[in-house]
Amino acid sequence: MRNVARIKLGYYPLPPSEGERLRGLLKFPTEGASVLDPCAGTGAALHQLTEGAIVERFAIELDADRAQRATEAGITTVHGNLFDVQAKSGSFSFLYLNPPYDSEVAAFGNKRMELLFLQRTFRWLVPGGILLMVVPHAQLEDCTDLLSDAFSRFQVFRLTDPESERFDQVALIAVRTRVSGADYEKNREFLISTIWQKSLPLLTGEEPPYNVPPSASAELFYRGLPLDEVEGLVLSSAAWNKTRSFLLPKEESSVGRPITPLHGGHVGLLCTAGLLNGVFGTEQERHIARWRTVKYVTTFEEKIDGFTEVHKRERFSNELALVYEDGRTLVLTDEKKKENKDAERTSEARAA
Amino acid sequence: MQNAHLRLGRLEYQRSSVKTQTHIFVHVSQYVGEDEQAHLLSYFGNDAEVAAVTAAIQENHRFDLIFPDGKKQRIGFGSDATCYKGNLNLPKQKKSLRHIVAVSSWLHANGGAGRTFLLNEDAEDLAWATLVSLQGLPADPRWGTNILKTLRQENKLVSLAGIGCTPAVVHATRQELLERIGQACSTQVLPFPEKNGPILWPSFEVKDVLAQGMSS
Repeated sequence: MRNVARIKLGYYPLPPSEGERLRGLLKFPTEGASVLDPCAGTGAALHQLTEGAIVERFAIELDADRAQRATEAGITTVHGNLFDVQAKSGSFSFLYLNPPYDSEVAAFGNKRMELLFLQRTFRWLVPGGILLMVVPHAQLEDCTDLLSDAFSRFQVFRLTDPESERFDQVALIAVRTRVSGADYEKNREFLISTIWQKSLPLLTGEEPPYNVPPSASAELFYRGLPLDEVEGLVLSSAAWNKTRSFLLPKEESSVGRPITPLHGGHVGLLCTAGLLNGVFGTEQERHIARWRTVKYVTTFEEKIDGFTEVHKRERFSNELALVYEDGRTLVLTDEKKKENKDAERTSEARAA
Repeated sequence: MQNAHLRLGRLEYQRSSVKTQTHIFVHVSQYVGEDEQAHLLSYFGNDAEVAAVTAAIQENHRFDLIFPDGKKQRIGFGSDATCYKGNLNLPKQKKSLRHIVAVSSWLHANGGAGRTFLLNEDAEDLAWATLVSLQGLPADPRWGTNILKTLRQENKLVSLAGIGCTPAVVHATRQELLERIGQACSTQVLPFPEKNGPILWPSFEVKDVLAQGMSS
């Protein structure tokens, strides 16, 4: 899938004209049924496919805005990833699958989403429940083993809306069935011949409908992390505060006038603490001064009883950097630095 | 914020031993890295996953990082990585989540060895203030645009791979930066402060900086 498509989470809604024709394929019970769209978008397709039926609509949608719109449209919607959602087997009478036409990245071995969505949800159908898949024609090949193992009464129709033709979309409709070992091969052969027949029948909306069985009210459980909420909480985590000293600038400026004049000791302390940084001097001697703390590490070795002990002596000192208005620069440091040429100097943050 | 899954990365850890095979993943909210070298990684998850990944970082193991756009990168921290721990308390859940910020030894000594890492390159005032503070430079907040521009032109300011931020690294020692400032001052390219006194720098909160990085 192209990145543009990924950004919108592979959201390509069912063209309304196709939805109208697909609605003709379904006959819903008068007793009521639970229906599911695990990649619902705004829920428009599910509403269209179940229009006028007595059903309880359920949806799963990854995008927050679209999930919100589906909820507002009266659908019980879980906002999250389908693979973090659970439901009891045999909960739904009708399953509408129009998953993102993409491959999963890494987590499930780069399998196609069409297959993964089917694998995840097909057990949620009641026996006799109806599956309606709208996918690119070629992607049905990966699904044949699973479909022939758990479904029967297959029909595949070519969709004719220009947008559907662009993606070579077909609609597969099937009934959830317990397929015995003996019937599996026969069922598989029938499915393959249905999918790969020379010219697929076009969906007209006049086809004989499939009877959707009744089912009780269903429940969906979301077991994943509420990522939107967690993302906000991460920003306030205590872990970040511990990284502040080496990620962000240190607040060093101090303003205000002391009540009494400072004596030399005060000035020295404030300077070395970096609290008297700023602009000083007049005319040619005007300059910006900045103090910082540096750590010197002196390494020396001592031989005792045939062993060599390596000692590291740490010493903290201060350094003053100046830049004059005319462009001269100067770094004032103590003499120890020159004496110990092997000394290791660490940053202020590290020294802290 | 909404649709966090579009911004979060994923860190996968796989390890096979004679008897066991481990394959776990955690969510990544922030990342800074240079090719295979990870410098900063903020990740969260349940106790067991976070503990396993943290132990693997300390043991200098390698991971697969999947960026929000699906791109994959093999990463590792090298030796002496530090892990800072935090808890995330979700109001609707009894158990809290674990949050870790892992930092490489390079980033821990940020500003040393002629390399300064910047968390958000796009926020120029933050980038300049960070560089000045970590390198201890005498400077004015107004000089940032000019100095950062010349650094970028000379490839001394290089963008890094990131999740939840737009990181960059400045390859210049304090002495080099000081000389650069001096030269610019001598040619009067940089406006020298008009009045004597303290120079006021903007203040930054970690939370605001990270939120800004996520939205950019």
